[in-house]
Amino acid sequence: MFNAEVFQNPYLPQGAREVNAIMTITTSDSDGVAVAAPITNQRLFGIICDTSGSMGGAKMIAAKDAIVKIINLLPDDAAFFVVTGSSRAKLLVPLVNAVPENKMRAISQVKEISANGGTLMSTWLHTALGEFNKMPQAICQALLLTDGQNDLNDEHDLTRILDAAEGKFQCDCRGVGTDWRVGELQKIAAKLLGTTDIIPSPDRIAADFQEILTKAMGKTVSDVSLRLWTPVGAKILFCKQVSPEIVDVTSRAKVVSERIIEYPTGAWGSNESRDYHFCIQINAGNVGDEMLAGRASLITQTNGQETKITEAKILATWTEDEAKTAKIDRRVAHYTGQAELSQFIQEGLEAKAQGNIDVATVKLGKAVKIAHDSGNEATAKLLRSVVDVEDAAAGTVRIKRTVAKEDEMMLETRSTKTARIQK
Amino acid sequence: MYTCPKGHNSTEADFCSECGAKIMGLGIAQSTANSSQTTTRSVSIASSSSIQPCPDCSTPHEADSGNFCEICGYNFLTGAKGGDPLSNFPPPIKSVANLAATAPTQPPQPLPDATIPHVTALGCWQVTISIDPTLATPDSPTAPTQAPITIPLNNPTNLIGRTSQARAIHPEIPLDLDDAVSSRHAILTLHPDGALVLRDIGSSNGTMVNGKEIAIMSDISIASCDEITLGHWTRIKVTAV
Repeated sequence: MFNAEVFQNPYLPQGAREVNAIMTITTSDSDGVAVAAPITNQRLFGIICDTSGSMGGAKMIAAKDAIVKIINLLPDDAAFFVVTGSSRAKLLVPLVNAVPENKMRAISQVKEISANGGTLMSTWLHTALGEFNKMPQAICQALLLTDGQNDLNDEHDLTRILDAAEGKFQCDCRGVGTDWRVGELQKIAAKLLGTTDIIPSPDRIAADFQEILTKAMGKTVSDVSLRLWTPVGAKILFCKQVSPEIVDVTSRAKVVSERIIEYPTGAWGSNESRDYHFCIQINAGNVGDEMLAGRASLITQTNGQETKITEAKILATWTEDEAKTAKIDRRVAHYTGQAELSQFIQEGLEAKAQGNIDVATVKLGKAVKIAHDSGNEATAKLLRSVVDVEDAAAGTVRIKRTVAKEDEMMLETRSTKTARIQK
Repeated sequence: MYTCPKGHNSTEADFCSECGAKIMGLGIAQSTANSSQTTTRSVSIASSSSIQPCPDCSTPHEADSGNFCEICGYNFLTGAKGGDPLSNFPPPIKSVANLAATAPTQPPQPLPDATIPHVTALGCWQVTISIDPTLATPDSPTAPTQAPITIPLNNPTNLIGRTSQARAIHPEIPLDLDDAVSSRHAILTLHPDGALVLRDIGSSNGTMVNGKEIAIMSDISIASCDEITLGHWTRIKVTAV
């Protein structure tokens, strides 16, 4: 069961044009309630593992071990494949059903993996896409593990394959160690609707992989898109996913018709909850006017058939009552703050990397204050590994003289994770 | 099909699928009765004229700028003349139904000899903004030096305030240098008869006319050479040209 709710202050002062709203979408177990969306049973999980030279040693051993564990954990009714990649991709285990004998054969192949060569990620994704294309009806998800930077000459090919793979499969990216680049993996994950995270040491790979697999196998509805209707003359200033983490999806909009655009949201599992922040500019009405600034709906597509799962309305009412117009909705304020938090961290780390310690101190201090005020304990903890906090409530901090590279990368990758608003 | 107050065809019953306007009291039964006629009529209105003259005073009216004529207050929704006392208005639901029934056959004709004039006063007034450090209180920051600026009043309503990108406030009379001025501080309204009226719309620090504090949300007539002072040190002199 999908459920959508909109939180906003619909009251605008005379002449105001900007409407802000938070849409919360939750799925729940359908105990006895009719399921509104078609459920797909086919699940295809692709494992893409970096086997370039730098992976050799402890990382390769841990990665092989983790892949074996994942294969063992795959439910019998799922399908899977394994791609290993260096300067070129190798389809180590072509698409097979996850029945015991296939798993056994795959595991013996995984044990043979050795590391050498360069890093051309476009070839890995290309091979993976070929396998996913064999099961277009399935919920297609992949996991990409790497430890290094992509070859600079691969930039163009990577962009091309990402365009081709978009909408075909989702891909979570994990960087092991500290030699990979956050921005690079985030680019892949953002395009393929996945997450990015750091695995600071090889011994954590297995646990992290299990978590990803559990989440992936929990998905029951594929290809859900978020459709947004806006009135004549309206302009969508931005659309961001703000929970569980911040992803600016504004540029992912695809035009459906003159007034309607849609954003892909990928596959959904049960008991999932995501929040979206819409900021829409509309033509100003007169005091007393009430109008619809947006109609957001969730759509699934199966065999070319569209099903509308749920819908929510974003309203605008103009009034002279300042007591009404001055209020900012609690959720809008909270997530606006979380977006600022993430931005302050990015800017702070950037300033620190450039040696601009004064700016970094101010920015990270502001981040500490927001994390403290909004109860984002996870981010506050990560911040404490980079700065010494003197007064969290006032945002007074000092940059630590020595910071472990992995702590800084962890803060960078995880700064987009938001705290849910307390009920 | 539903028809919205602005004449669009809407596929949605609650809000217009074209412009988002709220649709009140129009049922399917009603619109199906003469649906074909309604459809063609409203399409022609929508496509031929997003600008429509006010039947009472002939002022061009943009379809998306609301239900009322900005000059005389003519109500495009109910057809009521501007300035009619409220008690003379028919109940709103009934009037929407009336409009739906009569509008397709008898669109209101503009009166050729409109008795209510345009705002001929536009451009006849100007304001001169100057910074007067003698107005500052001991707590005020140091007044910046800036030569007086003269702004002609070219709009019927002129917001006095401070520009805010975040809140999309772009005042006609921007006083960005004075941070004791509220973002939406006061409005200078030019009436059709040429009168100029000032209203403090709930500013934080108040407004003075010729040195006297004015009440919030009440209209004050402004004559030529009157001086409005506000904020830390801002002086606005109003002059008829």
